[in-house]
Formats: sequence, C-alpha cells, structure tokens
Amino acid sequence: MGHDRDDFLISIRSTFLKKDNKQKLSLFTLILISIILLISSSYDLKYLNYVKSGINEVIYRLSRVASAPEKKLSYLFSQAENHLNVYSKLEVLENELKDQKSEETSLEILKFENIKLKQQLDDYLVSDILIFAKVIVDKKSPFLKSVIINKGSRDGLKLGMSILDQDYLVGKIIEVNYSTSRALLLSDINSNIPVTISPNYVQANVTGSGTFSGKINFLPKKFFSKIKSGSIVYTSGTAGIFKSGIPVGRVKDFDPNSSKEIQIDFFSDFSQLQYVSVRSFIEKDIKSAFTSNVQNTNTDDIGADENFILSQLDEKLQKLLAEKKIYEDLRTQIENENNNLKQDLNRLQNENFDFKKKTKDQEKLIENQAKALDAKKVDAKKIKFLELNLLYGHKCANNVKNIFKKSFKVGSPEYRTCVLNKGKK
Amino acid sequence: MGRFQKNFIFKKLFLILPIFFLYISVLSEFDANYLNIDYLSFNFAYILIFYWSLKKIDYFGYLSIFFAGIINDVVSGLPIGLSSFSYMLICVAARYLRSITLRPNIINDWIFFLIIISLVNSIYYSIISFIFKTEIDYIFLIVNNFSTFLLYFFCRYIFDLYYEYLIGQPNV
Repeated sequence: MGHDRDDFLISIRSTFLKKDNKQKLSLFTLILISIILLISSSYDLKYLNYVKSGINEVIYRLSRVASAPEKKLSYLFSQAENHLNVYSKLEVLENELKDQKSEETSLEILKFENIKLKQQLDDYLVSDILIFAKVIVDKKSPFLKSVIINKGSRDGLKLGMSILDQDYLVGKIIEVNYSTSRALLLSDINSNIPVTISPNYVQANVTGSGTFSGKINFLPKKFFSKIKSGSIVYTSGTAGIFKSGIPVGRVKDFDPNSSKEIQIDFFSDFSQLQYVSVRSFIEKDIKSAFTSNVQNTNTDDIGADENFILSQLDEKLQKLLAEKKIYEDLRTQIENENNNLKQDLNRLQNENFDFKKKTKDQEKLIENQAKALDAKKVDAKKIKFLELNLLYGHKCANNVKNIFKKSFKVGSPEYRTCVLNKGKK
Repeated sequence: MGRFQKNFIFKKLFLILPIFFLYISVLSEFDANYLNIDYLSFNFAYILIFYWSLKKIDYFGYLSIFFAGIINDVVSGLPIGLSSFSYMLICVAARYLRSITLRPNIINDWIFFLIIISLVNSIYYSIISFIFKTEIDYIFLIVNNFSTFLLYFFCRYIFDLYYEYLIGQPNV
C-alpha cells in the first residue's frame, strides 16, 4: 500500500518537475506562470498593460493573417450562395421596392426635417471624430462578443468611443492598442446601453444576450402595454456615452400580455461586420454657449477669442435658421406639388372615365352601322340576282324549252348559281 | 518505418505540422467550440495537445503549448493565462499517463482523456463564469465534453496513421 503511494508521488513529482532534453521550463513553472498571469490580468498595472498591448498588437496581426484563407473561403461560399439565390431575391426585392417607393417621398421629407431639427434644438452632442476601420478579427466566443479593428491610439481612438455600422450602433471600444482596438458588441452580456423605445418614448436599457440579439432590462411591466412588436429602439443619449437617436434595433415577437421579456433584433448583423465607423461625441451646448457669450459681450474685458467664438456661433445659428427656412419652404413646396398632383390625378381619372364612356357609345354606334352596311350588301346581292334572273332565268329553269338540257328547279341553290353564272351550268 | 524517415527536411516538416495546426487553430477566427450548431461543439486544441504530448514528439514542447494558450486568450478576449493553464493541465495529465503506462492501450487512453477533459473544462468554465458573471450552460459543457471525447478516437486513428507513415517513430 505504502509502496503504491510512493510510486504515485514519484510519478506526480516527475510529471510536474522533471525537465526533458530540450525543455527549458518544467510544467510546474509553466502552470505557475499561467496562474500569475491570470491573477495579474485582473489588476490594472501600467507596465503590464503596455506589455499586454504589445502582445495584443502582434497576435491580432498574426490572427488576421491566419484567418485570411478561412475568410476568403467563407466569402466565396457566400458569393456562390448569392448567385444561386439571385432570382428569388430579385423577385422579393422588386416587390419590396414597389412598397418602399410609395413611402419614400414622405419619409425623405421627415428625415430631413428630423435631422435638422435635432441639430438645431435638442442635440448638443456632436460628432467629433469619425474614423473608418476594418474588422480584422471576429473570433466567435459565447463569453465575449467582440471584434478587433485595425485602428488604435495612433489614429486617435479612445476607450468608450461608439462603433457604428453605417448608421446603426454596434458597440463601443473597450481596449485600445497602438494600431488595433477591441470593440465590445451590443450583443455581449456585459453591454448595457440606455435606449428610447418608439413610438411612446419609453426609456429602458438594452443588454446583450450573448447570442445575436438583445433584451430590454430595467423596465417595469406597466410599460409593456406601450410597446409593441416592431417598435424601433434608439439610443436615448442618457449618461452621455452615446449620442441620442442612433438606431439600435427593433422589438421582436412581443405580446404585452403574454411575453415575459422584450427581445431586440439588432439592425446590424454582427456576424457580417467588415467595415465600421468609430465616432466620439463631444458635448457642445450651443444654446448656453451662445447665451454666455452674449452676456460676455456686455462686459469690457471680452477677449479676442471669445469674440471669435461668439461670431462663429452667431454665424452658425444664422446658417441653421436659414437652412431650417429652406427646408420648411421645400417641404411646403413638395406638399403643394403633392396636392397639385393629387388634383391632376383626380381630373385625369374623371377624364378617363368620361373617355371610356364615350368610347363605349361610339363602339355601339359603329356596331349598328356595320350591321346596316351588311344589310345593304345583302340587298345589293338580291337586286343583282333578280336582274340576272330576268335575263337568264329561262335558261336555267325546268320548263319545256329546256327539256333536253340540264335545268334546275326554281329557287334551288343550283338554280341560283346557274342564274349568277348567266345561264352557264 | 516512416516514408520520410531518412529525408531530414520532410521529417522535420512533419514533426512541425502538429504544433503548426495548434497555432492555426488558436489564431484563426474559426473555433470548433462555438459552431453555433446545436449539440455540436468540440475542443480540437485539447485533442491535439493530449495526443501529441502523449507521443512526446520534438517541436511539440510545453513552452510552445503555453504560448498557444496565451494566443488563444488574446484572440478570444479571455483573461491572459486561462487557456495556458488549461493546456498545461492537459499536458500534466498526458505526461502522467505516459509515465505510468508500460503498454499503451487505446481504450485506457480514451477513458483517461474523458476524465481529464471533464476536469479541465470544469475548471475552465468555473473560472470564466466567475470572471464574466455568466451562468454555466451544463448542456453545452456536457455536449462539448462528449463530442471532444468521441472525436478523439477518430483523430487518434488519423494521427496514428500520420505518425507511423510520415514520421515513422515507433509508438512509445
């Protein structure tokens, strides 16, 4: 018994501590280093962060190279799939296009108006930096939904910046290296953003679910009735992390009476991210800045810089007001045009109806005339037959004169033919 | 006797390939652990490490495996050292099995592999859930464990062929 235990201990000791020929470190040392690294990663040490940043930098680049064939292959597969589905997709898209076109005009007007009014009135968070970046690594993991982009601190990226795919929010920067960064996606369970749910402006928080969707958190059940399936979710701008009004996603399959939680379908497909834009929003209270600068103009100690800022703000305000006027005029003009077009359409429809009615009457008239014409033609044929009958009837009819000739009974079709042929049988 | 036992360059190449595969599997975006397919996920790195550590070939050293773990952590965004720790535990198990085994037996190895990956996965997911505050998905864990265990048998067959025909060292 004791002997067995000794053997076991010797084996264990040899496993952990013995080094082979080409081995520089024992397994025990390597395990120890792993544990030290694991513990140290939970501390925010400046020098360690530099080392980690360097390691990340190298490994992200290597990972990009190693993933290149796989990416190319998946790209080829998706291209082939697109080619195969092109006809069915086209049909669907054509139908969608028809539906969308009708809504497009009114939507455009509202969009312009919305953007301009937002800039003018309530939105004092303005885009400061806009950087386009390429997604270099998108490692699938259930624990951390993140992507690595090819822009870092040298490009001006900072922690907390927003990541957008076109106009849709996809996440924020959580790790910045010299030339690469890691962005946490909205679908990650650690992601938590304040949002507004339209159309009733319900305020809530969206958390990632660890899959490709999100869910609404911190929303009392009494607000459920204000939300319906398909409601659009925007960033609310609360806490100043994100600008307000960035589209996030849409409420999916929600029934206020039976659903226990609210699921969100993000607008952007996080598995297909190739290029993203990184934006930071700085707080710039135009109104207060303007007011304070106006007040400052009354004092004598106003500086040249303040004067400059004041004139800039004034100029900007004037421009915005002018733009607003232009857009209002444009909207009025389009509305008028729209009304005119509607009136024209009604008039044309009425004309069309009258024209159709007239056409029907005329068709009837033509039909009657054609019938009369046919009748006249028949009459002319009869007259011609009677004339010929007087002249050649005796040659064709059965009578004594024609006893030795071929003759026909009067009124028979043969007789009629004979008369029309002027007595020739 | 392997086909390329006398050709130094080829032999070296075939010795390097297993560690090369390990590095590719940790560096690339593809991860068999998270295939997004229900009831199908496996840990290819564990199979590679266990088999080749058991074989104890050159160029598949513990330091290389340790660095592969570091890379895996960096690429996956996990705390640095976690995968290295798991990989090292697999190496310890493989080395221990090697030291106590006189005549290698596939069934023994296979069952030992199941026990060790269950242990390592449990430690791995416990640490992760502790750090990321996520609930452990036991179904996923069991499926992953079992798939890796089943796949080991198939991979072992392929690796044995590779080992005997291309490298040509006798089974140790």
